[in-house]
Amino acid sequence: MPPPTVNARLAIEGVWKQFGGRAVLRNASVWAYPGAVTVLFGRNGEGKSTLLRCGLGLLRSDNGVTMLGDHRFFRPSLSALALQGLFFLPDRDLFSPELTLGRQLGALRRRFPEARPELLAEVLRDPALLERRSHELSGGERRRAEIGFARARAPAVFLADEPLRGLAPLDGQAVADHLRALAGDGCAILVTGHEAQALLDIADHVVWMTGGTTHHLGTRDEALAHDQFCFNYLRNP
Amino acid sequence: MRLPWLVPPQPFLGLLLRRATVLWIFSRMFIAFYAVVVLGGGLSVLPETACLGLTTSVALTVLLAGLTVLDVHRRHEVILLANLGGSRRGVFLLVALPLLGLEALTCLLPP
Repeated sequence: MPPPTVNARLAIEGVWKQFGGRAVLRNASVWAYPGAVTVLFGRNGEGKSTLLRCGLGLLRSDNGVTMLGDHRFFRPSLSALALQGLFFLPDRDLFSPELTLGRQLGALRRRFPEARPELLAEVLRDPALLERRSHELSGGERRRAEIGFARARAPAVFLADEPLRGLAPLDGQAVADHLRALAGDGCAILVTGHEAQALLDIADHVVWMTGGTTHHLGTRDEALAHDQFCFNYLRNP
Repeated sequence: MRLPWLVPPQPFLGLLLRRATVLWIFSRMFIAFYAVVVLGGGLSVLPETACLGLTTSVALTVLLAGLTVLDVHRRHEVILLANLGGSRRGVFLLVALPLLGLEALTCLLPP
């Protein structure tokens, strides 16, 4: 694995965060590289989502910096990062419940002329779904639509918080394939999740979060050779 | 110029303005109802409730714009809007300016 900051398109570095005197993040850092998928693993409550949210400015961190390309943000905001090519998929409910997917896709095209709206229909597999609102879709369709929306945006950096959560294995595999395809377009991807097998299959870099800080384990094979990660997270002997 | 608090694109722009206008209409109806029925002023005080004065109008606008931003949070739309380059500050300003215009318009209406 290269030194973390070299070639990284997105760097969230040195993040500290306390909630009511309890330190949740202690100098946590994570990087995303062009054309590669970085997976952030960690047990529930270890601070994976908090790290992403601090890095995106959705939560105010006590300390830390976010670097996107040549831009450095000490007080990041998702809207500013989005205008620089980042797209964030939260763990649930990306879409507005009031508008059809097609109309929301129209907003994306108006804001970002470089967007590729045809990719959403391709990911959805059924163009008729574009005429529906998000609550009229099944969980799997909604997640596919969200991934398709991200692909249509053609982002330089894509962050997703638990993109495979609640999906059947086949649907999870489809979403994982789309993540891989997005990386194939040159996008830097950073995802969190607990679906170890599916995520390890697409991971180029593995980061393990424990005790409020991050450990860069290297490639998938290097992570699987890491005794503490295997025992304390994967529970493999 | 691309500003970090850029307002969201259509159709979100229209959606937010519609929500804020509905809120404004309801709050204005409430104020009129309060003056006429609860305070017992009768229909004769109705024209006086049209123009609330600068401070009250600004306070009402800030309150309604804040409620619209909260409503965006409640509907889990804040991340989608941010992904489209729109911020909470942008939504607030986007909503507050037309509401101030509506407040000014009611003062210009003949009694």
